[in-house]
Amino acid sequence: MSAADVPEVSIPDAGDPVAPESGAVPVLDVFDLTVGFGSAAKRAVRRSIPLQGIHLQVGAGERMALVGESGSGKSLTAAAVLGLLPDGAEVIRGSIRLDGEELIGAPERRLRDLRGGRMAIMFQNPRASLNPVLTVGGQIAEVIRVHGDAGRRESWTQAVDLLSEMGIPDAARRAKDYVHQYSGGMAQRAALAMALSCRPDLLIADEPTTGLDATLQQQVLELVVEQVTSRDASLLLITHDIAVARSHCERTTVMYAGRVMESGPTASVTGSPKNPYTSALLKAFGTVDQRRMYAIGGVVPTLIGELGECAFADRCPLAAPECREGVPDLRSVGDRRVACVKA
Amino acid sequence: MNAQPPAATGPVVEVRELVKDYVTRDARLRQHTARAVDGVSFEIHPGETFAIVGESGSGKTTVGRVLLKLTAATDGTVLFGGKGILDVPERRFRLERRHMQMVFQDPLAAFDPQTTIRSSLREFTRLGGLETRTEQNDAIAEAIRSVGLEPDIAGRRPSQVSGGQLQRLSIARSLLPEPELLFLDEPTSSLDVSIRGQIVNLLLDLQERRHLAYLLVAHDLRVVYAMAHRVAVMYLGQFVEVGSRDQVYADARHPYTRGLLDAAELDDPPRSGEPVRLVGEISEEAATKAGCRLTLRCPYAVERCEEPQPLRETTAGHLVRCWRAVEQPVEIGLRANE
Amino acid sequence: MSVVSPRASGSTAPPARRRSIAGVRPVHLLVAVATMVVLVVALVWDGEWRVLRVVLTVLAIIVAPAVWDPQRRVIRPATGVMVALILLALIGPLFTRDPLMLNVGESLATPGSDIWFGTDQHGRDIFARVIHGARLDLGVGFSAAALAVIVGMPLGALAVLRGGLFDSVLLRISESFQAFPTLLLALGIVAAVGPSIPILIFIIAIVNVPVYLRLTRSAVAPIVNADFVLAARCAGQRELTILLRHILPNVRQVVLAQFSVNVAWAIQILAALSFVGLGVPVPTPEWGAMVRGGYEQMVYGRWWVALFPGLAILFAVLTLNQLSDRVRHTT
Repeated sequence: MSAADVPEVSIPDAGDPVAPESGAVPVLDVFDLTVGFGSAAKRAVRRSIPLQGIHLQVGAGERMALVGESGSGKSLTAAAVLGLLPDGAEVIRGSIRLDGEELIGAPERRLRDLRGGRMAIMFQNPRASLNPVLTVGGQIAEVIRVHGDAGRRESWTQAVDLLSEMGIPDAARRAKDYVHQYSGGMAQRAALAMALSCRPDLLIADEPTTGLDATLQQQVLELVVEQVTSRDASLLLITHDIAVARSHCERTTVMYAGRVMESGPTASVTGSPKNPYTSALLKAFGTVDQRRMYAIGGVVPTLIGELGECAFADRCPLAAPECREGVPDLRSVGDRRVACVKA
Repeated sequence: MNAQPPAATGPVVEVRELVKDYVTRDARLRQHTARAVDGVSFEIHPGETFAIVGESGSGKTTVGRVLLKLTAATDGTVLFGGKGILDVPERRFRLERRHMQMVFQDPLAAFDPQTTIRSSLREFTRLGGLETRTEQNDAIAEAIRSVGLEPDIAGRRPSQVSGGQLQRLSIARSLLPEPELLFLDEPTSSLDVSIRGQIVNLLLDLQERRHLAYLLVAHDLRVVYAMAHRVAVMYLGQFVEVGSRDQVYADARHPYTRGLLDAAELDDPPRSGEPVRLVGEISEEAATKAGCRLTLRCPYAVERCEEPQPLRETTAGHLVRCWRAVEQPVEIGLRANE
Repeated sequence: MSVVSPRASGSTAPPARRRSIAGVRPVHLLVAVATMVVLVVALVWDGEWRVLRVVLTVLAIIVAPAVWDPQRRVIRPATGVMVALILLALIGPLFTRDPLMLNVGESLATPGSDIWFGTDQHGRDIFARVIHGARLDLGVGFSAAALAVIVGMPLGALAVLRGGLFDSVLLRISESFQAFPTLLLALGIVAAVGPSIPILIFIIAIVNVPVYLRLTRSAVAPIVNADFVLAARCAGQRELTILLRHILPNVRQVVLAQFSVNVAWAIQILAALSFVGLGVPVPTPEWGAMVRGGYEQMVYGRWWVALFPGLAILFAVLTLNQLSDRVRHTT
């Protein structure tokens, strides 16, 4: 990615009326992020564009849900923010700012400081973020030592306190256990403690409850929300379940096929969706009355080359000729932004 | 919304007091016995869907696997078409498998990555009694069409097909030997929401057309609501509540059932009354208890719950394993029994 | 798995099949002709170690089609070098001097344009001996490794399927074999029976069986309970059919990667045995034995006697390791 690309990009609506707390710098500001897979020079035709023009803003203390199916690019967006794009993926254009600091093109050393510093991640599989050969308390204490001036004993006490705040019973004893001795729900609590141990401004939670049963999912999500709120941190919650977004986040961004389809306050996005894809997603999670389920026909498109039309046009019940004339811009409509010519 | 199964003759399958123990050895070679299924009884009629719901670790998948004789049962009886099958040796049972088939959770894992889809399907046509290659190819093409795909997809490898299409192929494959019973093991949980509805509707259509009996194991309560005629709620190897779909969904009695339903947030607006919150998580240590196994997580647990709890009938066909739900419904937030 | 890819792509993609019917691709034609020539030469030409020549020929026929990478349209380097080595071992001896011919007048001649690798203390042509030695070393290496796979792989799979006592007993036996120092075991058997090529192949195979047994066992264990194996049981298949059609093809990759490393290892064992005088009988050209014959000459500055067979061992082992790496990383 060449830095020269950034200023050339024109924004559909430069004066953004829905920017949270206008004037205040958002904690995370993703602007026109476009990511490509594969070498541009060699096989320009076969190059896939899994993210195209992503706009996303998370204000201070705000909880934002990033909703989408697999292949929508929601996890890739998080990876780009963390500077952890997989091999072969590169940022073609756009910018990512954390507390106003540009992350694209930032040296790896700086990114490493920020990860586990001002931003932290919590994965779907809690055992992925905890080292299996170190005690749970030991590795949390280590993070506390690296990011603060606490000593060995003090950092251990803080780690135990943190675990106990996360609702782990008998934390002083459990801190000496290894992660495989934890049950699924407990491991996710420990992973949250780990993520929060560096006091981040932004917590990115990538499908933190997908592997868990509904009863546990509720417990863990409520804990995440409660802890993030009490620390005045921002949350970017990545989920495939729009119902989770509805009950736990103030703002929601819906993604499909590497594009933002709709973004705004959760209540209005889920209450009166303006993008047909959002409506379809809501219906799929809606109540069932008949011996029948709501189904969206067709398949998710493959993302080879830049799109020339609305990504959802092939499956959309409202599709019209103008949907195929170009990729719809992410326009401001009332209190939100929508990428649909019909909105 | 006809929740009643079509008129039935005898049940396709009848399960009586099924028990399954898993024996493991630890590093010191001590034996540990874990009871995954603890005295489960039910029957499924032609054209009916019987669903088992519960958290992971409740033993619901094991019931299906034992029923299909994919793992050996420890105790109990399974009558298939009136005949006991648990004692039949595998050698003689091999060809009987045509009557009962299975659809797996992850379709990508259910197909051998080294062979084409056609050769995976061909094995099942042999079980259906087709010997010549032309007959087999015709049956394969027909089966693929019946799940809404084009037959030329069969030349591909599993990794070259999308998840939703592969699950359709998995269903097509399981129907090739023309079974009477299909065990659906979480058929939609590895699929995207937008695909999930397609698969559920396909299964519903196939059931109507072929009068199939389904044993559905799932934790997605929306899918269960759309598909099931009768529902059993399972916790640590036992059924804690059994009833028709509407009995279980609209008139849940057991605190566990109500906890699951409330956590799933099915209704918009939410169910009236205080939602039941289950605390903690499923723990195998409780699986050996004589009394109610939910006491540590249940907001209504009292001392008497530690006594053995039988499955008791509240209204016709509605069974609950909770004395308080039967004797003190008002105290635990239920309407009084009429 | 590179070996099957031409066949696989032919059966799944109709266009490819049509093209190969219309006109056989030049590469395939070339390979076919070459293998026919090799087969005829290797079998008709009278000489020692007919069995080894058959093994090498079969191997060349199996490996040769994998030299060409149809997707990337290039020659796979490691496979190519391997096939070249096998061909050299098979037909190279036809074009060299007699490796056994003594010529005291020309003993310890320095390498030059006439005698490429020089001569040893008995005046034998080292180049001829290295080429002849290739047939023996590669032949013994491949035969031993193949024998070990043929015995070890089914045993490993069976250990998982049967489990229980069968598994434990098999494991303990293989452990005791592995606990024994290879050379010591070989020394014992050779001292008792006397050195001969079949005995050497047998010994090297025996010490390698546990490797394949354990490898297959650990590779099969997670597959036995895989959903696609359950599906095969739902299809009413016999256990043996499931093993052969669904389980073993899915562990083939792992075993093949081990195979080439193992051939290299077998060559090293053979060389080591020859080096201590328990390998092939004396005048036979064998790389290890040649190194032993030449190492005393190093002191007097006659480096070539031991260097060239030593380089041959190094080259063969490196190629095989490279090949193993390739196999592990493709598909």
